[in-house]
Amino acid sequence: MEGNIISINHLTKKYGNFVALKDVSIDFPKGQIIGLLGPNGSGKTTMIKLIVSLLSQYEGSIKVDGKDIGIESKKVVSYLPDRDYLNKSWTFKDAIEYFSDFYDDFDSNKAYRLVNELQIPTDVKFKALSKGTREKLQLILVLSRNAKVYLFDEPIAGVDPVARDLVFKLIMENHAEGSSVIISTHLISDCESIFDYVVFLKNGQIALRSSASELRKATGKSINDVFKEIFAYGTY
Amino acid sequence: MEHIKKKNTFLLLIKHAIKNTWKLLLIANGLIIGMVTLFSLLIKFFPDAFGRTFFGQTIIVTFAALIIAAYAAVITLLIYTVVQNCYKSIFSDEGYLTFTLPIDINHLIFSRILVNFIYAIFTVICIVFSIVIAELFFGANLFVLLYNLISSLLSNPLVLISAFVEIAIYIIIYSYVIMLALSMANSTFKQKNKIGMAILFYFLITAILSVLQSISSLLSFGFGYDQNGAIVFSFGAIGRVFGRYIINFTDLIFNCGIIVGLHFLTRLFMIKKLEL
Repeated sequence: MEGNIISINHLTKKYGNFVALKDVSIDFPKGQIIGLLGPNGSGKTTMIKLIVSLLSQYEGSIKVDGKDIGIESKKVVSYLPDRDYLNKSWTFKDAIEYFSDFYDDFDSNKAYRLVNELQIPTDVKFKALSKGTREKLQLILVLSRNAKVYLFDEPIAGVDPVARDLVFKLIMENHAEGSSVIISTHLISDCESIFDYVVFLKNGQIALRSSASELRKATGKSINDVFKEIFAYGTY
Repeated sequence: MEHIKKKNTFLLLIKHAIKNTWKLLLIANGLIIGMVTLFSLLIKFFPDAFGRTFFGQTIIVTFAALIIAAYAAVITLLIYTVVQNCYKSIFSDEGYLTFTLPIDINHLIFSRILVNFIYAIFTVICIVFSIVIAELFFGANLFVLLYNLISSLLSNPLVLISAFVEIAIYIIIYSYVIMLALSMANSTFKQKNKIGMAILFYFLITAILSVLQSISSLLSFGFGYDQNGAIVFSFGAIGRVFGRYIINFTDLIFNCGIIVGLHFLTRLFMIKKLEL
């Protein structure tokens, strides 16, 4: 379990004049559940998009499992974006076929097992399903890969409190053994118990990085309270 | 082993691109052939029912107008499918899936170009087939000009091949132009008005290509037909042939260069400039 799954060095990303990430250097440890935490606009999604190569214009370097960003790194990363990204005229079966065709590590049996457990129909087009159901299906597809690293970008942002528990249960029980899980969120109180390691992003820079247990021990506070302290908006 | 894997990925991209977009185009083309066949058979087997009365004539004119509208619709649908094939799975939210697949970007581009090419050729074949049906069964002047053109092409393999190559190059170039315009629009961090920017880039690129093509046509040389129908070598404006070029080397070289250039520009924007 030693070593790092993702190494980022002197990463800077600008959108015009706005600096989304400023000279960020960080390593994400292997085999851990990592919380990438920060308020809206702190650079979480930008960092994740850079790791999965949805953004190409940046300075610095990113290595995933020791490889530069490219075809080889994409083979080991399973990514859930913060939006609907599947063809809405597909059924779940179509999506299974697509994922099976392109990902060698995709386990279609696992996908069908999970979808049956959640009692979601497999032959209904996505456009006929509710947003919540589509999000669950996307989560199932991402978790059905035996990847080395899973990247979840705001997986509970649009989900009701009951479904949030289900999302975390699915993630905890179904990610591949020994893999790293990175969850970006600003809703920390819902999920702080699952993190082994946390990274706080503030204004495009690393504000804090620590083992979750050590942080709790050192501060005597929950991660959510530490988060509130760091990102306090001040009085008004 | 690596080579085999890459080849499979390319075929899989083609398979899924076709699977996601084939239905509308197939239905539209089938509808055209069906309409023309029905119209022709009605005229052939019930000649007295139409044409003699005002009502009969009205039906014929309406049916003919419908067929012409259907041709226009199928061409529009082809353009729509070609644009969708490039846009939807690459530059909309579905791009989040496409660009995180472990695939070679060259394969992605080639697969889209090839599928567009297949669709365009399929549509051309369906339209030609429907015209031939109309002429064979109906035998009237409705499609006579088109039919004569097709007949002359079919009777001369050289001209047919030349026409086919021209159409193929045209389709490939414009598929690339669409993809390049979309790639350029996606190279900007601004999320709004990407479609508007893509349209602007499309017209900009086509304008540049038109200027370049006009310049290259001044230097045309190749084989063509002279006034007596003999095949001769011709050079540009000085020795312009009476009929048409069978093969215009300048156009061929120029267009191949354009295709290579467009490919590498599209690839550059997709790999180095992508901002989804």
